[in-house]
Amino acid sequence: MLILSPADRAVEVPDLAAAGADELYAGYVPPFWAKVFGPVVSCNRRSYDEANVPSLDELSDLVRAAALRDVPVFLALNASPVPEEMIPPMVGLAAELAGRGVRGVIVSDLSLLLALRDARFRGLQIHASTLFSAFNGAAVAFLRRAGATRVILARGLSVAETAGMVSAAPRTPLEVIGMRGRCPNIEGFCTHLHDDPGRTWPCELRSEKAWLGDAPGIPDGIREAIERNEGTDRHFSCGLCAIPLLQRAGVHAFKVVGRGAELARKTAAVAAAAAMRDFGRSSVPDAAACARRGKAMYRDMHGCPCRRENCYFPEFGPGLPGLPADGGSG
Amino acid sequence: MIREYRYAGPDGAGVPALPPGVGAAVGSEYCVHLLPGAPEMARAVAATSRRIPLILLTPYFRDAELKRTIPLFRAIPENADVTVAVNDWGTLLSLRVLFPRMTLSIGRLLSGQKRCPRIGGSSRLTPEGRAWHGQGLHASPRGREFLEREYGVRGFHLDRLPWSEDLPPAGAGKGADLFIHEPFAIVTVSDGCPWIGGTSSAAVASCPRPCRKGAVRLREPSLGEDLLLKGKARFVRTAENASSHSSTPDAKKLVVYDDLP
Repeated sequence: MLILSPADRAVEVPDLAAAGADELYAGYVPPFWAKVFGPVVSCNRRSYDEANVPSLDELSDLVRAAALRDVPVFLALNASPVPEEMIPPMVGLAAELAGRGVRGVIVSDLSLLLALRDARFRGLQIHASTLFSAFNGAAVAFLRRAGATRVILARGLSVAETAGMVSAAPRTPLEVIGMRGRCPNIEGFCTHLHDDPGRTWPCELRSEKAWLGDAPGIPDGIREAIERNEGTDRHFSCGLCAIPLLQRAGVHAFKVVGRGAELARKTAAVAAAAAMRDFGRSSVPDAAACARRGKAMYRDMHGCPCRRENCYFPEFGPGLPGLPADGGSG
Repeated sequence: MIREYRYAGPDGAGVPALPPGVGAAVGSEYCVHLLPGAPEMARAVAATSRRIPLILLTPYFRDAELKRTIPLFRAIPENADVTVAVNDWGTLLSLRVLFPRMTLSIGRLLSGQKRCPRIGGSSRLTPEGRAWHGQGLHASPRGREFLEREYGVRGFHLDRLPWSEDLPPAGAGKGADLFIHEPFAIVTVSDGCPWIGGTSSAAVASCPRPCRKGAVRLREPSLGEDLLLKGKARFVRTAENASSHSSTPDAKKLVVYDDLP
């Protein structure tokens, strides 16, 4: 299983590769898009400068630095919708990217996916973004028919569900997102506007709540469940425990998210994922052993136990029967 | 031709009370536990088939959930006037393979429209950037043609948003029906449900639907409008009251909700 990391600048590549990244992905907003849609509507869903390579020349530098380490680079073009008039320039951009050595693009718009399929670029992979919300094997088949050469699964699937999809789609490499950036909502169905320059997103805000129903107030449990996700820092999102099992299931790539984050955060996440993968390769750990190791690594990395709201894979939620609460011995 | 549909509850309990000339919508766009069972679906079809058409709203599915739901789809007779609104690409493929004559449409969750109330008030959006949030797959000739040719898709479900004033007028589309839903637009959907402790809806084999007993109003000033949380979905009210088809002559078909679905 490959480990895929965000990379925002060429200078970051050596550290990320040394930490264990096998693949990199980046963002870039072409002038033809920014000119029409302004500073907030990005063609890769990240509007802030830190998350985007500033120019095609710098992107070429990043690709070259990665090629020296035999690491392919993919580019996110995962805005949706891509309006009809933007399809030809986006396909043109993909051609330009292929010429500069970018190995593939990540898309979430059906029309762009179809246009890239029909353009028949040699050697340019087309990855269907998690925004397509592939929760089942038939969705993988749909996306493959529409041109995807790799499918990034919806977040929120269990390890068992993911494993079932791998076996059902043997010809389609599947990618799983599992470190940093976990959102309480289903990304492909979430339409919140992420326009805050301070990067506090609507799903993280604390709301005043009122009950609309016959009971005198919000029933027990509902308020608590809502508030558990308010104020949650996505930096602490983690799926380390699942890595050995995902690898054994045949998942093609494990993605660390967080374009625009500091390099130290990215390298720490990649190193932890790589270490967990090595643990899975060197032994054949069962789920409980994976949980012990993963939760101990989490505590080492963050200085606190993991929390249910930060857990990517429901089988490994802290406090579940049969699992250690937060590790302690690895 | 029927131009107005009313949401008649997950199982279609409200179908018998619908006024003449109004179609029915049943099911759910966001939760598998809010779908009718096969017997309820058969009853709803029987109650409507002779006089009014029906829309079955469907959510996203995991593999096991989709498999369990096949009997529901099988309960729809081939000649019944039922449109299935899909919100899952895998469901679209599966239904096309298993039920090639079923009338399929693309649901609101796959439309591409963005419905966060903050879009209306953000000072950082340009007019073009704001308008982008109202666009969607329905406006893409390439996407429409592919979905119609490969999957027999005949319609698209949309919200009328302040930034989506360019919804094509009746007859402007090439064959595809446009279903405009009012007055609640879905802003976001989570997999975890607060009504069952925040766990995934996939964690329970069946759900007693506690979310039918109320909703939570969420107020956060920067959003500009209140959100309404019911089950796994957060909605925003797009109009004070649902329109009737006579007040929205540009909408080909209107799906109206008296309460949060």
